Amino acid sequence: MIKVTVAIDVRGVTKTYGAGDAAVYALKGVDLEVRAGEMLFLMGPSGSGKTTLLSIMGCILRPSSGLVRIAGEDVTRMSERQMPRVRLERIGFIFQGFNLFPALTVRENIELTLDLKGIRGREARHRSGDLLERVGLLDKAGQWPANLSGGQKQRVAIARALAGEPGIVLADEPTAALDGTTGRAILDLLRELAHEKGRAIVIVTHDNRALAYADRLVTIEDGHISGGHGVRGVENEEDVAGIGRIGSDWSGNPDHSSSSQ
Amino acid sequence: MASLAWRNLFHDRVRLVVTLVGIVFSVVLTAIQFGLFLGFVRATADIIHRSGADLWVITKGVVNLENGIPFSERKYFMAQGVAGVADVRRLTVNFATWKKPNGADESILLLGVEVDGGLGGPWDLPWDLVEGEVADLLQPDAVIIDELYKEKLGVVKLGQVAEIMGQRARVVGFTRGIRTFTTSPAVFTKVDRARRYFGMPDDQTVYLLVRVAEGVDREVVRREIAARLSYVDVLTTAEFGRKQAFYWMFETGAGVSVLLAALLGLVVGVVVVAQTIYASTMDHLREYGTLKAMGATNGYLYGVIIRQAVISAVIGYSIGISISLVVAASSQKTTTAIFLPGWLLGALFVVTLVMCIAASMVSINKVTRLDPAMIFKG
Repeated sequence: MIKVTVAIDVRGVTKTYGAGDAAVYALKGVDLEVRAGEMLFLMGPSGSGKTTLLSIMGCILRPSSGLVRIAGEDVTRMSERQMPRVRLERIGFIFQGFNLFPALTVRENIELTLDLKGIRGREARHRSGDLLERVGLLDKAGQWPANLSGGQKQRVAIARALAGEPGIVLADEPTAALDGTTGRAILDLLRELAHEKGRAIVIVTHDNRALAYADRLVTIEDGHISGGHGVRGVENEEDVAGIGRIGSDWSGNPDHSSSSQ
Repeated sequence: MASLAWRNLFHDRVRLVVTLVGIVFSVVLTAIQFGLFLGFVRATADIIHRSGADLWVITKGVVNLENGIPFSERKYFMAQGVAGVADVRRLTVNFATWKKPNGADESILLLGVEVDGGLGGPWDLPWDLVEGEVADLLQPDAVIIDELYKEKLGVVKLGQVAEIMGQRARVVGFTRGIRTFTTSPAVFTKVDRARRYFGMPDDQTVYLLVRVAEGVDREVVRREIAARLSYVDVLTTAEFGRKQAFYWMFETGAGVSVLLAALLGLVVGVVVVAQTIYASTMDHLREYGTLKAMGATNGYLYGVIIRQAVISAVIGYSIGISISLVVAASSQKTTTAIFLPGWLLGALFVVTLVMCIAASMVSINKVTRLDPAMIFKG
């Protein structure tokens, strides 16, 4: 067992929409810890509350009750004005639809994050170049997103998410729009990024084939955590075999041994 | 990022064109409608403003130039005797019938002006002659008309003869740009000839135009004339001009319809611009949501969206006003002139800018209320 740092700490979080008898519970008393350096998969059927939980962890949505700490900072007590700072400094987002800015080139998409952090000019160019090299798209720096393949777009989105050097990356269905090979490459990249700099990566997915990449799997159903499976290296190793079986559906299983810290 | 607003606008050329067409349409519509209104306002009182008089002596209660009531010429001599008066001229104004060379009748506004020594009528009436001279009015039966109304009056060249109230009238000059608000063109002649056309006694006039001596307080002279001359109003040129414009614009109802059309143009313009800018901002809503998720503050988003609105407004306004100025310039050759003074152009710029920013602010509310469903769903 290795000592880990808690990147995201969710305690007793409930999220309701509406009030009184009409209230709809999206989340009911959810407890979850996401540790630095782990790649946690969040699964569940549609409408189970995955995106709501991801939004709350990403400081996009406030819980109705409960506590959320990001890198030890209680964000539930923060004002709306403080939230952008937390998102900017602590969190990177990767979206199912890539959400790249079509009017900006690949490099400018990445530099946009840097611009938000006040990093511009030569420094921004240097950093965006490094990130593009890291995701293998340096030669596409001047291209428009529309000219890229799905996998390339997602690589740009990953580079953009990492530009601000966040400790947490939240990904919503990052492989849903990609074919198997490309999806695997994206997950390989994310896993490397998680492990090499101790980032916490939370991935919401429906894709069972992706689970082979998970350090930990958390399932959510009807707004509450219905299961948790540690896969390796951290805690709560409960159902490694089950995860392995699910993950084997995706050809080219990743090398788990390389992911231990 | 300063360029994001610019890039958002110029990346999607079709969307940009649609946005600009909306703004240009609004600017042109509003500018033309208000320009028409101001053109009418100017046409109603142009003769008054261009008279060169400091004060107008009119029969008490008269509210417009065309319906003046004659008074005794004794008042003319009395006014001349008032201290501080430099000069007094007589002016008659009446609607009359013009019989064209082909025999058809037209209504005209006949102005009888004083002509002495070839130096002009009451100082500046008529003005801007393009053919002939004011002194030519000293010739028998001489009249001067505006070239805009040549066709209407059936006259194409100098020397042509028509009839006013059944009496001979010979065209000796053409002016350029003297319009009237009514459908009756202005026709200038000598004051005594105008009296003759109407059978008006020689000792009567309709208006007295007074010039105040240099260095003398106009108000003092005005009070003195009003005290000496009974049953008259003494108005400054500006006051009579306002009265005239108000009469035609509001009391007759004729101008109200023009003003309503202008206001309607403004409303339509506001709606079109608001809808166009709103739609343009909404098109980028997901991007703004993403930007916010990335950590952009509301201030940053406002900056991007407002910059987009301002760029659109400036480009749309520039194109719209250029078109409007061309249309206004073309209208100068017609009897309905569009008048676009500098203050109107400035006001329209402010209105366009405010419309664009306000419309974008409406959609900003959606951006600042970050909806996870908007950003997460592919």
